[in-house]
Amino acid sequence: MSEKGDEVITVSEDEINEEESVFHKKLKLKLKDKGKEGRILFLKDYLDYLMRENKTIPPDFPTFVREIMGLDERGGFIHIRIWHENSELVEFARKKGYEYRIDMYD
Amino acid sequence: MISGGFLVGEALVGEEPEIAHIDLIIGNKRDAAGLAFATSFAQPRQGHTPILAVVRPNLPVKPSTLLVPKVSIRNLQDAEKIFGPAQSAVAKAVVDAVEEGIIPRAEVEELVVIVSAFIHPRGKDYQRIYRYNYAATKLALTRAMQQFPCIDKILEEKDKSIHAMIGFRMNNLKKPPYLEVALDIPDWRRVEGIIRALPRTDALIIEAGTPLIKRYGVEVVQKIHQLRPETVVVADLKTLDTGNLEARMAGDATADVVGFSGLAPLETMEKFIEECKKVGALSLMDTLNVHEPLEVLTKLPVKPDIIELHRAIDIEKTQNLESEWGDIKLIKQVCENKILVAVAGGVRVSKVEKALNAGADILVVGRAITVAKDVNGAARAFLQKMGVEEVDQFRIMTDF
Repeated sequence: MSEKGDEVITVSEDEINEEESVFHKKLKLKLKDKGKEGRILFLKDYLDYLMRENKTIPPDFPTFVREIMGLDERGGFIHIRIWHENSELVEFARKKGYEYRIDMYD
Repeated sequence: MISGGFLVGEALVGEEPEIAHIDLIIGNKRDAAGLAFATSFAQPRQGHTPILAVVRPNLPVKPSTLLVPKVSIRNLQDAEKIFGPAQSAVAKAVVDAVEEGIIPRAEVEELVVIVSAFIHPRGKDYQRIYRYNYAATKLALTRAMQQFPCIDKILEEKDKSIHAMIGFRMNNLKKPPYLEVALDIPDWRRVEGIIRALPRTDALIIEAGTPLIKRYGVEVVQKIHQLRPETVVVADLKTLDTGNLEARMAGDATADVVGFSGLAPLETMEKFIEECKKVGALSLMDTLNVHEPLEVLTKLPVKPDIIELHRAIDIEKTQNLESEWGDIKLIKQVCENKILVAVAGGVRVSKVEKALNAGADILVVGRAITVAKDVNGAARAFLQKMGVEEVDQFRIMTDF
């Protein structure tokens, strides 16, 4: 949708009506250990980070735990859905020295 | 010049940890200031011993000045800082104030000054402690004598200022119009992405939508505030029962605005509004499916702060309706113009002008922003159409 005389408006009616737009990003993060232990270590590390940084626990943490434990491991990396390159998870990965990269959804 | 009572001055100067915060009173010996001076002098408290400010040992200043430490003196290092650089700075500032005519020279025998000084226990640099406390004391004296600030200044600044230490301010929504972005997507990571992408402006409000709250609990408001401490967050509870309990829960979760349903029993609504006032939040009446919002409002002895004229998402999907918001001006009239009117449901950029002309103060927009590929651009398109200035909350205070 664009309006005459206004700046270009980036929202189209199709986008507005789109129920589940897929335009998230992927945080590809390398676990420090393989398998189940590696995931548990990652989750402990994340929780430790949140507490030490006085950050409120993300409200989706129980779901996040299930998601992490169930994700496929691809060459030592897990792919986590994120919607912003400065999300709390990215900040955590950066500060705690995890190897990571951010890709667009493919 | 100070005929009765006393004058009060305050000043904050410098950088941490040597930052100086001075509160002082100056008044006549024969009045309250004199009584406070003598009482404080005669009844020292542990860790807060008052001392006379002196230019040098055996040479106290005029007007007689009592320095009272705000932070408890726990050891010799603390004592050295307050009795050394801070005390000297206060003394010099008082005498310089006399010399410069800030304090009338003719009245120095009649006046007393009580200075309460903050010295951070981690402050180490004596040069900075001295300079900051000198500047702060002189500034506080000047302000006291000028009776700064005037009430107009305070009223102008009260909704704009951010306290240096808390880093955010309470926004009481006094300067409409506002854009309220409704986050109804029950997926936290996606919501986090949207919040981070939204422009930072005073004109933007974030709504924790009912589905989001149902999914994660009202604590999701706290998490939103962690990401955006300066932003007004609405907890859209749509409360129908236990008004005080739900309002309190949302208030405890740091919600700035809490919403109840206009379909709730009157008693529930009254308790909800009352509880919102207790927890320092604004109350919002949601009129979804309420056929006569005006009638409900009229019955309420105490009105909510905001009324949201709401069109349901389900209706919006199934029927090709234009938004109908009713007679906004009449609603405001009934509430003696002490209510903000929000309009929700199907608000698009093309409808902004119509809504504002109808008298809307808050435009509630959901999917038009939250599912846009460019969330920031979509929000800015609304703000631009609303005629809202760009980011203004990081305004630098340069006047004092």
